[in-house]
Amino acid sequence: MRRRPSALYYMSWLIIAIILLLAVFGGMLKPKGISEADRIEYRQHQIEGKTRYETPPFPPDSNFLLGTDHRGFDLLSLLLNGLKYTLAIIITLTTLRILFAIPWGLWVGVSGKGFRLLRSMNFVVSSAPAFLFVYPPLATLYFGLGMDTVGEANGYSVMLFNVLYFIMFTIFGVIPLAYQMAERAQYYNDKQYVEISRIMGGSLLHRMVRHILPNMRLELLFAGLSEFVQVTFLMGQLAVFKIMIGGTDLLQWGDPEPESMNGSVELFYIPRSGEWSSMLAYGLNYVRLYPWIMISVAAGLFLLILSVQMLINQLKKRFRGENEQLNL
Amino acid sequence: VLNLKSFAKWGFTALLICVGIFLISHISQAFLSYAPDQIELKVGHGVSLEGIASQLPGASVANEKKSILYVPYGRVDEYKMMASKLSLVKKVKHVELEKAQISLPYYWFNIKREFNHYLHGDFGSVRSPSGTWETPIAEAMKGMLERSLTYFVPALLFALCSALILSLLASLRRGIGKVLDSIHTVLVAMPDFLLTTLLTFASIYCYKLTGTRLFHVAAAGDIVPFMIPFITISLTPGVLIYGTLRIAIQREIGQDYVHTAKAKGMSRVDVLLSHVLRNIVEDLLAVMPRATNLALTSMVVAEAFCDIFGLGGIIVSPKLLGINAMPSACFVMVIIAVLFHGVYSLLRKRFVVRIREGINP
Repeated sequence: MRRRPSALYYMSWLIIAIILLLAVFGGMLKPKGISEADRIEYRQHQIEGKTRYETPPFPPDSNFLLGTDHRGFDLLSLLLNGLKYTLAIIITLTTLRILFAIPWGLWVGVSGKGFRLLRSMNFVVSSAPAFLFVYPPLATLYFGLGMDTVGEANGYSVMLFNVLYFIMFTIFGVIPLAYQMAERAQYYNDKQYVEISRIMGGSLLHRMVRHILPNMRLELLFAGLSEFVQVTFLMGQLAVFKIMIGGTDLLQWGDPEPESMNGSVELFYIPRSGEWSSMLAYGLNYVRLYPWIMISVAAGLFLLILSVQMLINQLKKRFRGENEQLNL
Repeated sequence: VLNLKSFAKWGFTALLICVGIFLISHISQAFLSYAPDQIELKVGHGVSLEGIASQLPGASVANEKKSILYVPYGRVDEYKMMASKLSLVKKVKHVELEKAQISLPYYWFNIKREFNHYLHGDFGSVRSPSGTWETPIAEAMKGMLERSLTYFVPALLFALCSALILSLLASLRRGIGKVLDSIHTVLVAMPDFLLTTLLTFASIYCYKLTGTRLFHVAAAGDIVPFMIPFITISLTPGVLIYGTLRIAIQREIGQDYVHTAKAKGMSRVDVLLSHVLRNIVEDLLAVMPRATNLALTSMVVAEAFCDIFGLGGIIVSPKLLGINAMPSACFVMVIIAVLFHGVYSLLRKRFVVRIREGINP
């Protein structure tokens, strides 16, 4: 029997709705502008009767609640503006994983073909941390295409890197998810009603679509939400390792003349859009000098994950009574 | 316990992952941003390009007007170095392609070359942050491994023990359970990089305010931070193990044998320790591989944050590690992960009783 929803259940949905609304309208709600006109070179204040000049980044105060970046842009405004890009990337990656994993897992689970292969692949992939598979190719390509060096990365290279980023994220997420789906599909496939459908002439596709998939809807929901959390974690970790999706809206920070810095200038990407993983990578460069940058972004990601995790918990509580056989 | 089949299975898995990492970590070699068989020279007026080509074995003139030479395939860097040493050559550079290309022959060429290096014992090199020294990774590995394992193994053990104790405590008292479960819900969403940032932040501000050093935040000289990696490594797997054990204990507490034991007069503590504990070993051993993977990832994050010259920190530091050495560093991490997984698998075989219902058709 389905349990009566608690106040927390509604609250968790409300938080998700607020996050989605912030993603959609964050650009309009942001308290300060993030265009070139809003750039702050310095600000002056009086100390013991003397005028002092202070250059950004400014620490959090009543004017800038989360502080500013090196351009004097308000971090809260950047985060509000960047949420939609971050969510779009995470949701795209999660959707890609699900789109490939569900048909594959269902087909393997129902037909029984390729189950051993999928199990072996899952065994191999889950035997080592995911980042060991994802980081080396992305890092070598990132540095190989010169995306860390002034002037070397062009639009085509950025596009190549982005494609590989999506492919790597998808491949190493699809295999465990497909295996999980295959196991569940196999479980439902052994049920009597599916067997009867088969005897009565129901095709493989018919059994998958009409009998197994509807029974797995809750599991799919949980799998989708869990994948969302995993993708967010991995994206954040890769950003800490300075691997993030580049974009045309990334600004070059520092001296553009390589000769002036012994021939090598590292780019400090400061995302104009405020995309969170790029902000995280940028914040890490100054974690000991200006910790508020890193803390603001990491706390934002933490709250995002916490909200989804809370929804998962509440959904589990709500539906546990309905279907005890679910592997929740 | 240790049979040949298990040993072969885990050995093959480690080999397969290493080969996979080797192949995909060189994927950048499939992307060409410059011609793999040409170099462009800047020479003085009236200097013959043919003459220069004759001094470089295997080189020939490709374009006299643009001063481009053909060099043996894939040896552009080597020939750039050779050409730059010639007195008549002012500058040597790559011949840039209009846009990057995907080239499988170039990828395969580099794979074969790297494999040859490996066969000759060259697994890449590690540089110092200042670039003052460079040493083969095989030599540096011992120190790196020792440094990383100093906090990795204790942290993993601490995570395991604390999660086990806390999950048992939470099952003993409903009040404690509620508090611990609430903390668990928050911590499960805590990314390791946020934890490391907060610890760094706490340490810096504690020192600024009180003059007391909580713990070292960065490696410097012989000082290697211990507490930040230790806490970061133990938290994520600890939270995962706690969650799993909590569910497992709750499941077991509802079983008939627990009711019987209680009815016979056994206390809750005795039931948990004598009956429930041995029945949750399977859940514990099932979650440990994932917990170990999480611990390894957290170790890399912590080492990257604290600039530790360890196994994980070195992988994610392009300043320290040449691209050719990255797979070698990854291989060692894979071997560690697979070794731990193998041990869990053996423990599962030893301690978990498998029951089969009915006869399989």
